Amino acid sequence: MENKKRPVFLDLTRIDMPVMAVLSVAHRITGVLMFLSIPMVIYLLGLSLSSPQGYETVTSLFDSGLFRLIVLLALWGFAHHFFAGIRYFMLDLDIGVDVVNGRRSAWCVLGAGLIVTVIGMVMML
Amino acid sequence: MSRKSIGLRTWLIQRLSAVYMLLFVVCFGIYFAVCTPSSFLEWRTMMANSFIGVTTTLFFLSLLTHAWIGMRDVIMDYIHIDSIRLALLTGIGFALLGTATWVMKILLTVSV
Repeated sequence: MENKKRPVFLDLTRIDMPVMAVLSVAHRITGVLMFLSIPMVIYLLGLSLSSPQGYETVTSLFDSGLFRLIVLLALWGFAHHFFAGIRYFMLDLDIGVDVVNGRRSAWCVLGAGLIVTVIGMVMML
Repeated sequence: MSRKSIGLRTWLIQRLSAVYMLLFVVCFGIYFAVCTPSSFLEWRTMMANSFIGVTTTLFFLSLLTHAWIGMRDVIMDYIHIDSIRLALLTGIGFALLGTATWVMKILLTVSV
């Protein structure tokens, strides 16, 4: 950094973020949230495999509305990260790099993440 | 690879681990949907299968590697105080290694 006094404008409330930027931020946030949830997932996996009682404990968690809500949130985070990741792959392969297609694919990712979440919601009802 | 290409290497590992996880999640998801276990014994029998055990372990190792690179990138972007950055990276690194050991113990010792 040669010029430390160069102007920096990072007022996120005043920057007009295009949908691709929103997607990118959400990709990061969902990634960090999933990182934080890894221990819980492994704990539940181990518990469900440990004994019939442990298995019952894990399956009966789904009777709780709060747990279902958390699972749905996790499903959305996972689905979003999954589809946004596929989009980044395509960009790496030079597919849809222009603004029009980049914007279109970003909306598709947001939509796909929500569709998967709604499917999960219907399946849990 | 040379020191200069280390960024390229992490970039590549991030994508290779993502491809494996993508394939695993799709295949395991379909398999789970078709042969949904309905009891503890069925679930345990499913996971005691060597192929499923090994591919699931590989999934978690990919996941933890992917999480390491992702968290490393996030921390390097936002934490600019060297001591805090080092402490966070060290803590997360050990936590991920511990988690890897933990999940391998769970998955590779399942028996019917």
